[in-house]
Amino acid sequence: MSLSNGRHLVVTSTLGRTVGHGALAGAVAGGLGAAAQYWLVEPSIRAAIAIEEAGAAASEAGDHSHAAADQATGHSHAADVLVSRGEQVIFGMVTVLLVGILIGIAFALVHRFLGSRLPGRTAAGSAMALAGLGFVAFTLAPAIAVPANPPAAGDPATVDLRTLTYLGTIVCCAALTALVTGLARAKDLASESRAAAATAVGIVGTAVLIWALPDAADPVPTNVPTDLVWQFRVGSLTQIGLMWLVLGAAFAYLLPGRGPSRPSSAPADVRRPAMPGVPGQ
Amino acid sequence: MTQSTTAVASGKIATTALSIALVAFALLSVLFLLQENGLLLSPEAANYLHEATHDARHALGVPCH
Ligand SMILES: [Zn+2]
Repeated sequence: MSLSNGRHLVVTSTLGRTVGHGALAGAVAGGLGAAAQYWLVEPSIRAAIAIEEAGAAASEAGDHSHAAADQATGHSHAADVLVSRGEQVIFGMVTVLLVGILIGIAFALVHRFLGSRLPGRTAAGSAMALAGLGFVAFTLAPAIAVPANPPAAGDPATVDLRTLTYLGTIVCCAALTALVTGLARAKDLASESRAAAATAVGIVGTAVLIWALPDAADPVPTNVPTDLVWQFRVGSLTQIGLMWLVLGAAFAYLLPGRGPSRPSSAPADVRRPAMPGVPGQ
Repeated sequence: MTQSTTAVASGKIATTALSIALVAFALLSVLFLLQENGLLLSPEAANYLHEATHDARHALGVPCH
């Protein structure tokens, strides 16, 4: 009955709705991402595994200690009976769906709380802008620092450095993206100095990151055709780019005032002020 | 009036904290799905998860091998 309680309920139910919309948009993005993975990336993975198995067979025939070392890493696909290839394809697509849902939830909450601090004049526009920024910080930047590799083209010895570089790139680039976006929209700067400051920080920040991040990418092994690696990287980037695009678009579609089943409710970030003259409890 | 404002404010803070926790949880779950290396699961379970999510890890550009 109390006003504060009522408002509190409104806030929490919108949070639940935000999470729900994020999960739904993420599921759509993850579903399409899984389809893209099946059509665009799996062919290169299949070809890479064939090369890997041929290499393992050859080294087993020639050098016994080498094959034993391969087995010890527990990463040999040739000797893999734990999960069959068919299951790996299916579980891989399920994983993409789950990752889509989880990223969708995080995306929706970040969009809700950054609100008008994001670029874009409408909530739908800012959803698309956030998806674009997410693609740059979480996909493009790490893909440049540590390009994606098909199964045959990685060196197990460097995986720790590559993982640290990958995660470090995401953290640094997300911070830089937030800084540049914040500067571009800083209210206490004139619009020309805003643009100049954002551009300068963006360029200097990118240069510093390129200089500071370790060169962790593995050289492509000689037995793996560069065409295959290229095809894999383009397929992988297309898949993830598609996922960001669909996530932004689906979430924008679900926003209040856009969805099909939306009664005349005010947008979440417009709170009606307390009515004057009505005493509190 | 003061009381209800405080209630709204604390509700807002709770919502913000819950949201931050949810974002952290979602991102950590992604990391867990794609990076689990035996820290939280038994070696067999970790190995199974690793092999089951292997195609997605490579396709999503997460370092592996
Ligand atoms: Zn791998």
